[in-house]
Amino acid sequence: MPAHLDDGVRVMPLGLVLLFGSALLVFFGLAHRVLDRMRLTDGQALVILGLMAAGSFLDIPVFRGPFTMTVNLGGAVVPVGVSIYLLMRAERTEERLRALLATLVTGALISIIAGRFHFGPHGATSARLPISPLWLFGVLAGVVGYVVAGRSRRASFIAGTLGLLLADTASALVQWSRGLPSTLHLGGAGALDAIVIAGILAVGLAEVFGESMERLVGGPRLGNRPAALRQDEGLFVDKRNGGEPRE
Amino acid sequence: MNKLPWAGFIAVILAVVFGVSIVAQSNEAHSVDHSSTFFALVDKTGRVVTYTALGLQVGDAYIDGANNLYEVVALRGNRAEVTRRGRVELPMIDVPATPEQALAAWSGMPGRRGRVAIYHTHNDESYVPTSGIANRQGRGDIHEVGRVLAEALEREGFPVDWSQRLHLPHDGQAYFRSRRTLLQLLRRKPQTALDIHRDAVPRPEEYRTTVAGMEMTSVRLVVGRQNPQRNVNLEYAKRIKAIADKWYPGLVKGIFLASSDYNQDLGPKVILMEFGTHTTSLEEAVRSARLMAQVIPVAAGLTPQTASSAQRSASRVGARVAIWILVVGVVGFGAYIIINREGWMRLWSGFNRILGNGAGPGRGDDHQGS
Repeated sequence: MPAHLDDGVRVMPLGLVLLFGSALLVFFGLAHRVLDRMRLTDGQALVILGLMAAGSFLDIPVFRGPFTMTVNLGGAVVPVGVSIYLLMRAERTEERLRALLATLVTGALISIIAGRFHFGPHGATSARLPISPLWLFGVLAGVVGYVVAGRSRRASFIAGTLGLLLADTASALVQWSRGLPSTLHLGGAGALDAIVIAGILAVGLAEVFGESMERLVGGPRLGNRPAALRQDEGLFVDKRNGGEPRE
Repeated sequence: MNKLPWAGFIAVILAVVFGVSIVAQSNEAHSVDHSSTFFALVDKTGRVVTYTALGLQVGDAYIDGANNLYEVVALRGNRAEVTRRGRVELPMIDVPATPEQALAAWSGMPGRRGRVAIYHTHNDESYVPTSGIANRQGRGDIHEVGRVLAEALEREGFPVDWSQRLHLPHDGQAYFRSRRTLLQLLRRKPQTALDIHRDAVPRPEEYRTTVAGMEMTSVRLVVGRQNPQRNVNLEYAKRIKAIADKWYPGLVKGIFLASSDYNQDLGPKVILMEFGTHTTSLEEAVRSARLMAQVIPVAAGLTPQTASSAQRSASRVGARVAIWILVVGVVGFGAYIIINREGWMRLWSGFNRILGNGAGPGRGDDHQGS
């Protein structure tokens, strides 16, 4: 009898699943809550996802030589652009600082973990983690954004994309500063890059976790809810009030 | 209370922590010899099945040279206790009795030859008997193995894209960096992509072997267990072993199913190969690379004559993968709808919008928070 192993769950390449799944959620109007908190419309979100996919094939050279750097349109420029847009759209400086804090914490944690765990296949001076880094860093950013930045989906996305980009860039710069050849291809895998995956995973995790927690505690009640509880950013924008924020 | 100065203070502290962590990470990645720890896989009689420097997890599996399947059931220090799960059936592949006959048969037949992509996630890996070091800061001896493999395939008439792009430092982000390289290689539509490594077991006898009358290193194949296409990749690994066992018994040492994905989610014929270990020589690894260059074209279906066999093999496994994709997608979608408060209503509205039965949900009419 031939031997078999437990086959486990199989899915498409992770980046394709996330992009396709995200597009489906947006198209069916199921991501409206997340998008509202990120100050994005359905159309904007679909355009962003489309740009990530289409821009995957364009690498922009920045430096050549001992330190070589390219930037991919879909894998780096678009997600970073979205992160900067989200930061600029934040109503208060405190929100921006929280998001940047979450980014720094995420970047630091990724750097520490990447130095300690090599994720195989060998070089086994370091311990092993039972999870692929593609999942791990996105989950990490989601948790950090949720915990550090006050349940913020926006900060989770920013922490995921900019945090990973920060860790990647810092690693390459340190390599170069030591006189060693270094290449930095930011977002080079396009829509399948770890930067995109981390951002989408982070905001998705914050949304799922946040929704689940709120459901478990039976709330929030709408209508008479205090303004500070209406959105995770602590700011209530009442369209019936002419779009003026009220707290 | 004005929180801004506090936030700025915390940001400065974190920036310092970040900087320190970067330097610390860099120090470890550069100074550590990545060859000092390894596992012995031991069955319940105490017999050592094999040694590996793979960082093992419970649930990892190994198919040895005789096609026995072992599963890691416990880890105790440097000892991985394994249980034998039976024998694995390798695919039956109809090929000529020798590689020379196969090459002669192909060279007379028309048809496009498939492309091969080769790259090195861990560029720094070297062989101590040849270079005196296990890891070189820059392109190590492993690049020479890749070069020989590429040239041997090209001599047989197969186009090769061999990337020498660096993915250093040798740390936890190396596979992110090589993922980008692999994606760019995949744009040229290769039939297979090979990530060339060497192991880090300090026992040369673990890999040293004699094949076709020559002393060389054996080759171990690694498939990522967390790879979404792992069963398709495993099927490919089995094909490689089946052909190698027929033409060059002993060339393929075994197949590891290890945790992580090694970017193998990006294609059904993306495989990681370990040519020897740091205590064997570069010359021995190069000899096995020349033989492997004869095995890869058949296993990967690089010629029209071998393509249908490879495709059938992948399709059989791929069909099950597609069903799982559908199941996971539906379950995940359903779970999201359940968690999302107005999920069902919005889904129904979305369908109506597609069918043209009136406008979908407006952004302001039911969103009560903003």
